[in-house]
Amino acid sequence: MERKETIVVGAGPAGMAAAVQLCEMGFRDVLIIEKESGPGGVLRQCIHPGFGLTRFGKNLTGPEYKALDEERLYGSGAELCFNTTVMDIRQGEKEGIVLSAHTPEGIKEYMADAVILASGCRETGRGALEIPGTRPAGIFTAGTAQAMMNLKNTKVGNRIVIVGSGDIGLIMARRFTLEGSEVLCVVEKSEICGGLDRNKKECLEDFGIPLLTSSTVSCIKGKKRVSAVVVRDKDGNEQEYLCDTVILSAGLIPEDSMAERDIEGLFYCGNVLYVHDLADDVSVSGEEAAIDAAGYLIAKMKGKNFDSKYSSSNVGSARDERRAFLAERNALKLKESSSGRKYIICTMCPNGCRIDADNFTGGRCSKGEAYARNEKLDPKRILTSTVKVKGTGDVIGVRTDRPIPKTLMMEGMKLIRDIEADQSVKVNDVIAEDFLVKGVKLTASDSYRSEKIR
Amino acid sequence: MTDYDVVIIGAGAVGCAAAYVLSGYKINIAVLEKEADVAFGTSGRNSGVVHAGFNNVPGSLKAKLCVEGSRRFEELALHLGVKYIKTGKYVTGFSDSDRAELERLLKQGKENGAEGLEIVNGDDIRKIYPNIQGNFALWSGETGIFDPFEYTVKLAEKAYDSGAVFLFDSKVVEIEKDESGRFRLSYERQVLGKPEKETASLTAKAVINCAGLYAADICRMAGIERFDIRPCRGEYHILDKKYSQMVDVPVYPVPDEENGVLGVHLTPTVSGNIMIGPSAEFLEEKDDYSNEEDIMHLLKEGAELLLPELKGAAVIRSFSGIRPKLIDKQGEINGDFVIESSKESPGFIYMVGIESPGITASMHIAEMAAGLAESALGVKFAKKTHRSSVKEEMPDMSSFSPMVCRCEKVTERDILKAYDDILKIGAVPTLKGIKNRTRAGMGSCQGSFCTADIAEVLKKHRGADISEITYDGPGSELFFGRLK
Repeated sequence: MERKETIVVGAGPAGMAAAVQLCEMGFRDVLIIEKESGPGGVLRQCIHPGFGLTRFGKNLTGPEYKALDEERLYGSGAELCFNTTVMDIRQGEKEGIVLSAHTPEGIKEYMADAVILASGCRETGRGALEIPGTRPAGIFTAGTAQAMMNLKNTKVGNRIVIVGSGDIGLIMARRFTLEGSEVLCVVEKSEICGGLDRNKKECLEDFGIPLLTSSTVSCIKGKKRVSAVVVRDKDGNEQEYLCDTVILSAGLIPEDSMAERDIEGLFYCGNVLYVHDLADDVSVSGEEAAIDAAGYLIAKMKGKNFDSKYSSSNVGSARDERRAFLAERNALKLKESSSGRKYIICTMCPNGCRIDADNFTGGRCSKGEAYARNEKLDPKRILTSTVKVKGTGDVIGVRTDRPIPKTLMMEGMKLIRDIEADQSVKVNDVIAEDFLVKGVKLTASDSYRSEKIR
Repeated sequence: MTDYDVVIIGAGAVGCAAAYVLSGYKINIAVLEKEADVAFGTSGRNSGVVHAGFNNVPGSLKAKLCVEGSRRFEELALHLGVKYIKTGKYVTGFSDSDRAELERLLKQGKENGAEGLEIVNGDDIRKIYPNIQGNFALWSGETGIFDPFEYTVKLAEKAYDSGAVFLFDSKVVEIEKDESGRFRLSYERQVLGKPEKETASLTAKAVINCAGLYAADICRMAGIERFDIRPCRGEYHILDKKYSQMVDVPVYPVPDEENGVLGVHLTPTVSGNIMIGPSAEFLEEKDDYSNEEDIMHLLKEGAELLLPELKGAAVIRSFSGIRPKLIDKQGEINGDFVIESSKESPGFIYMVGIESPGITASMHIAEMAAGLAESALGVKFAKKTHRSSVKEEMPDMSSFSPMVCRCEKVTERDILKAYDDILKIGAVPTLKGIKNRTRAGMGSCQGSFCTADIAEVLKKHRGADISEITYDGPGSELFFGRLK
C-alpha cells in the first residue's frame, strides 16, 4: 500500500486548485489522481467563454482557464497520477483513509491522512428524468454532445430539442446553432430558466431560440432514431416537434458513489460537494477545502479536533444550504420575470446586474452602464468554435481575442470552416489576423496533442 | 454454403438453445435473425428469473418444462459460465382471497413437482427482510435469477463454436417448398451504406420456428394460419445500485389471473440493481417498446406496496418487453406453449406462445424441437463424439487497460473483446450489443460519460467509422459523421 499525506481525487478545476493550494502552503507529500490521461476534466470540452472572470479578471474559454491552472499544477511539486480511476474510498481499519484504484500498474491501494474529493458531477440521464416514450438513438446528455462536437469533431444532430435549461444545455443550444443545426426549443419544467442569465441571453435570445417554461416532454417518439418529441405546457396542451435529437440538460448529480460518507479526514470540494454555477467558484472551493484539509492535518498532529464545512460529515448540510440559496434565488428571479420591467442583463461578470434599458442605471459597477449602452447600440460577442487541425481528423478550440459585432457571428462561422491550424498549435497562438474586423485575432484556446485523450 | 439440414428462425433464448442442442449433432445448421444481434427481442427484455413452476396449470407443457428447466438450470448456468443465483422468491398476500390463492398455488406447484414451496407468515418474512409487506407469502426456495443477455450470448457462442452458422440482420420474408421437398427460405438484409434491402435465400430439410413475437407470422409463411399472437407489453423501471441492499430476493404480489401475468414485482438482478415491473398491456404493434406515463407511475406505486422504503427511489432507466400472447379462436388467452411439428408441411417445426417461463424452459423446448426435427425427417441425428471446443482466447489481463465505463468498471479491453465476440458469431456490432455483453452504459450515469469514449475506442482500435456506429442496428446511427 502506497502511503501519502494528502491525496486529491480528480484533476479538474477543483482538484487542480486544491493540490496547488496544498503545495503552496508547504505540504510536500501531495498526490493527485485523475481518471483521464491529463488534467482539466470537463474544462477541455468547454470551448465557450465565460471562465476566469472573477479569478483571473479575464474572459477565458474553458481550455484557456485549464491551461493557467495546469501550469501552476505542473510547477507545484504535487505528484501526478493519470489514467487512474479511484473505485473505493473508505476509512482505514486502524488509521487514515484507504483508496482502491484501477491504475496502469493494476489494482492499487493507497493510504492517506487526508483526502480531498474533487470528482465533480455527472449529468441526469433520461431514465432519471422519467421521460415517457421510446428509447431510440439520438438521446444524449448535453455533456456527451459537447464532448462529441468539441473534442471528437462529430456531428450529433440536425433538428434538436433540448430538455432542461441548465447551463450546458444553453451553451449547447448556441453551439449547435453556430454549427448549422436547428435548435427548435428548450423545454424547462420550472417557471424560470435554470441556467445563468448571461447564458439565457447570449445562447438563446441572441439566436431566437424559444425557451418553453412550465413545460415538460411528455413523450419521445421514434423506433430507431428519435423522430419527434411531444411537449406539454402547464395547461396540458401538447405540441409535437419533429426532430432527430434530444439533448438532456436537466440537472447535475455529485459523483461520490465511490466514497463512504463520514470519513474522518475526507473533504469534498467543487461540484462533488454541490453543483456550482461557475468554474471560478469551483476552483475557490478547491482552495478552501485544501486550507481546511491542512488545518485538519495540523490539528490532528496536535491531537485536536478540527471542523470544516468541507468535511465529508458536513456534506449533507452544505447541500441543504445550497438548496435553500437556490430556492431563494429562483424566487427572486421569478418575481422579477413577472414584474415586466425592461432591462439589459450585464454580462461583463457573472453578477448579471439588471441595467435599466432606458436610463442605464442599476449596475453594481461602472462597467454596467457602458455595457448596456453598447448592447443597445452595437452588441458584441466573443465568438468561439473549433477549426480543423491540418492532416488529422481532429479539431482544436478557437476564439476571437475580443468581442466582435453580434451580427457578424454567422459570417465568422463560415470563415472558420476553411481555416486550419498546424499540428504544433499551442494555446493562445494566433490562427488568423484581422478576423472579420481589422485588429481582431482568432486564437487557439487549447494546445493540440496528436495522441488525444481517448 | 446455402444448403442446411436444419434452419432455425430467431436468435432469442429459445432459438439459440435450439442452435446449441443441434450443433451437438453431425448436421449443418443455420440461424436466421432479423435483428443485429442475439437477445434483442423478448429474451433480453424480462425479469431474468428462473421460475420454479408453481404458476402453471398442472399437465401443461409450461408446467412440465418449467419444473424440469428449473431443476437443471444451475448446472446449465455453470456449464455455460452464466451468472446465476438461487435467491428463492416470495409471493406475498394481504387478504383472505390472496391466502386462498397462495394455497392454490402451493398445491398446484406440488402437483407440478416443484420443490421447496411453503407458506410462511409475515413475521417470518420480516425476520429476514424487515420492510417487505404482506401478511403471509408463498416462499419458493428453488426460484433463481440470472442474466438473460449473458445466457443467450453464451448459448449462441457455444453453438457457433460447434459449427452453427448465424445470419443476423436477416429477416425471413418467404418460405417455399421446392420439388425435392426442401424448404427455401428467402430473407432480407439491410446492407450498411445501401438504401435498398438485399434479398438472399437458403434451403433446409427442416425449419424450426423460434420467432417469438413473430412466430405466428412465420407459421403463416409456411401455410399454417391458425395462430394469433398478440403483443402484451410489460414495462419496467431499473433502480440505481445504491438500493441493492434493500432486497436481494424477488418479491411478487399474488398473480393477476385475468391477464395471465405475474403482476408488478421486485426483482434483484445478478448485477445488483432492482427492477420494478412488469405491467401488462395489449398492443396493436409488435415493436412498440415505449414506456407510458401512467404506467410509469403505476409501477412505482406497485413497488411501494411491496416495499414502502422504495418511495422516491431513483430510477436510472425504464424499458419494456413484449410478451407473445397466444390467442385462441375464441379470443381467449391460450395459456400454454405450443411446440409441434407441422402436418401440413412436414419438416416445419414451430414453437408458438413462448412467453414466461420460456427461458427457464428453453433448453427443454430446444431438445423437444430437435426430437421433432428427427421424427419429421425420419432420421436419428448422429451425435458428435465431442463438441469442437474452441478455446476462448483470454485477453492479456496483466497489462493495463484504461477504464471506459466508470459506473460499471468496464475497461477498454472489455469493450474490444465484446466487439470481437459480436463479430465472431457474425452479429453486427452495436452499442446495445456491447452494453449487453459488458454492462458499459448500464450504470448510474447511463452512458453519459462513456458513450463518446466507446465510440473513440472502436474508432482507434478497430478502425470503426464513428458515423456507422449504431445503437441497435441499421437506422439507429448515433452520429452524423464528421462535423468539420
